[in-house]
Amino acid sequence: MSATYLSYLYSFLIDNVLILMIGMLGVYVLTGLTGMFSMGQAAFMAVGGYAAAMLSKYLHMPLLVTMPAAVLTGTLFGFLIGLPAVKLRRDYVAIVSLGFSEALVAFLNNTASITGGALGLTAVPKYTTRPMIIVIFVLMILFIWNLKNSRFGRECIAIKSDELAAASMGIDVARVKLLVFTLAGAISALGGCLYVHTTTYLDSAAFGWTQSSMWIVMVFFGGVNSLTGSVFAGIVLGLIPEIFRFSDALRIVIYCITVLFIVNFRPQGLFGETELDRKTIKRIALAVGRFFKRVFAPSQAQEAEQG
Amino acid sequence: MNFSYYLQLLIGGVSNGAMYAIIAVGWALIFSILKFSNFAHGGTMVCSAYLGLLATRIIGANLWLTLAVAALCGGLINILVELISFHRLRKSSKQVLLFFVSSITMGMLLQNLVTLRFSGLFYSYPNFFKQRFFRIGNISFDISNFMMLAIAAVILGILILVLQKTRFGMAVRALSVDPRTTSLMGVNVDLVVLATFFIAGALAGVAGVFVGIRTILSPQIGSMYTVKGFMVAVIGGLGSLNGALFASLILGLVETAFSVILGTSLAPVGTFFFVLIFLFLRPQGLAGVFAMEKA
Repeated sequence: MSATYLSYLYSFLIDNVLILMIGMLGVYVLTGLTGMFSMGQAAFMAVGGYAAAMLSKYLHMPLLVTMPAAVLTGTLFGFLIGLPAVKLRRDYVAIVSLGFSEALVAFLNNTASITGGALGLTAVPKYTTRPMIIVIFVLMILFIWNLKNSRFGRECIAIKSDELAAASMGIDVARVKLLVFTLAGAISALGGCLYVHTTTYLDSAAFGWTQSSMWIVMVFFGGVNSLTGSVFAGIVLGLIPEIFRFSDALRIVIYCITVLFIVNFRPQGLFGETELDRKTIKRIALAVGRFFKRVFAPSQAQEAEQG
Repeated sequence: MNFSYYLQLLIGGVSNGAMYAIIAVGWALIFSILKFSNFAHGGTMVCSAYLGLLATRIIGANLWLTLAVAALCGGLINILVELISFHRLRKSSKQVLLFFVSSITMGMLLQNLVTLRFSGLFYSYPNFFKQRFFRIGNISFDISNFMMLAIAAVILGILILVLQKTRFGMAVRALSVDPRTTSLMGVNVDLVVLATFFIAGALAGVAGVFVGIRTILSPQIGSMYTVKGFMVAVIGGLGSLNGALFASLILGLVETAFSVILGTSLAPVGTFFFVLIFLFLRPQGLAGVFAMEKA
C-alpha cells in the first residue's frame, strides 16, 4: 500500500466509481424506491453521455450547456420509454427497457460516422474536476434523500410494497411510475454527461446489459430500501474489482461470489432498511458509549445497570 | 431476388427459431415451476457449449456425442445453479428481486469462469458435416439448418410427451399450479425442481452447441442469449411451453426478415419495436394467460 497506490485508488474512486454511482442512483429511485426493474438503465446514461459529447465535440458548447442538455435528453427518453412501460406489467418494464438499451447500442453502432459506434468517440473536451464531481454527487444524494422522505417518496414506497393497496389509497399509480421513470432517466443521463466529460471517451459497448444489471445488484447488495446501503455497496463493489486487480476475469468471479454469499445469507441486503439518519447515529453513539463505559469503568457500569 | 432466395431465408428463419425454441422452452419450464425467470440460463448455455467444444477437441467427438456431452454438462451445471442461487431463496423468501439478483450474478459468474479458462477469444466448432450444402434443382440448402430443425423437433416432441404422459411430467405440471398442495400429495418437490433444472440445463446445452455451429463461440453469447430467451419467453406468455414454441418461431422469422430489410447491424432496433408493439397489442403474451402474480 504505497502512497501512489492510494492516490491512484482515490482518483479511481472519484473518476469511475462516483460517476457510475450517479447512474446507479437512477436505479435506486426506480428499483429501490418504486420496485420497478429496469434492465436497460445504462442506456439512459448512454443517451446523456452522447448528447453531451456531441454538443461539446462538434458544437464546442461549454458544460453549462451540455449538462442541462444531457439531463433534458435523458428526461425526454425516460418519458418516451416510460409511457408504454408503466402501462404494462411490472416485469415487462424490464423487457421494454432492456429492448431499448439493445436497440440503442445497435443504433449507435450503425451511425458510427457521427457517434463512433463500437470504436468509440474520442477527444471529447474534459470539463470536470474532482471537487466538482464530489459536490454534484453529494447534491444528488441530498436530493434523493429528501425525495425519499417527501410525500412523493412515500407514495413510491407504497407502490413498491403493494400496488393494489396503494391504488386503493388514492395514489395515481401510473402517474407516479411515469414520473419515477422519467426522473431515473434524467439522473442516469446526468451521470452519463459527467462520465463523458471525465473520461473524454465514449463507446457503445460500455452501456450494455452488464452495466445495468450491475447497478441492480449494487442496489440490492446494500439493502432493499436503504440509500445509505446503496451508496455503501456502490463504493465497495466499485472498488473491489480495482483492489483485486490481478486478473480481469478473476476479479469479476470474486465479485460474483461475494454477491451470491450476501444474497443467500443476508437476503435483505447489508443494511436492510436502515438509513444513516439521526436515529441510527444516536443508537450507534449510545452503543459506543456503553462499550467504552464497560471497558474503562466496568464496576461503575455494572452499578449503573443494576441501579 | 427470386423465389429460391426467399425460400432459403424462410428456412434460415425457421431454423433460427428452432434454436430459440430450445432456449425458450427451458426458460419456460423453469418459469412455470419457480414463477420466476432463471437469468443464469445463458451462463449455463455458454459453459456447456465450451465443454462440448472441449469434447470435440480432445476426443474428437462427432455431432451426436458433442450434443450428448453438452446436454449432460448443461444439466449438471444447472443443478449447481439451482443449489447455489435458488435453493435457499426458494425456502426463505418470495421476493422476486432477490431471485433476479441471484440468478443474474450466477450467470455472470458462469460466463466469467469461461472467460477465465478460454479468455475472450473466439472459437468455432469443427465442421460436422462432410458437405455443407445440398441442392434441389437450383436451390441450395444449408444442411446444418435442417439438422438443427430436425433435432430440435425431436427433442421438443420427446419433452412434451414426457410432460404429458409420465408421472414425472404430471408432478412438474402439478408443481407449476401449486407447490404446497403438490408436496401434500406426496411429491418430493425438491427432487422434481432439481430434475426440471437438469432438463432445462440439458436443453441449454443443446442450444449452446447449435449456437456454436451457427455462429462463433465467445463468452459474451451467454448474456446475449439470456436477453433473447427472456424476450421470447415474454412474447410467448411467461411459463407457457406452447407459447414459447410459437414465439420463438415468430421471433426467428422476424429477426431474419429485419436483417434482410434493415441489415444485420440494425436488426435489433426492428426487433425491439416489434416486441414493443406486440406487448402493446397483447400484453399477456401469445398463450394468453397471465402468470400468477401476488396482487
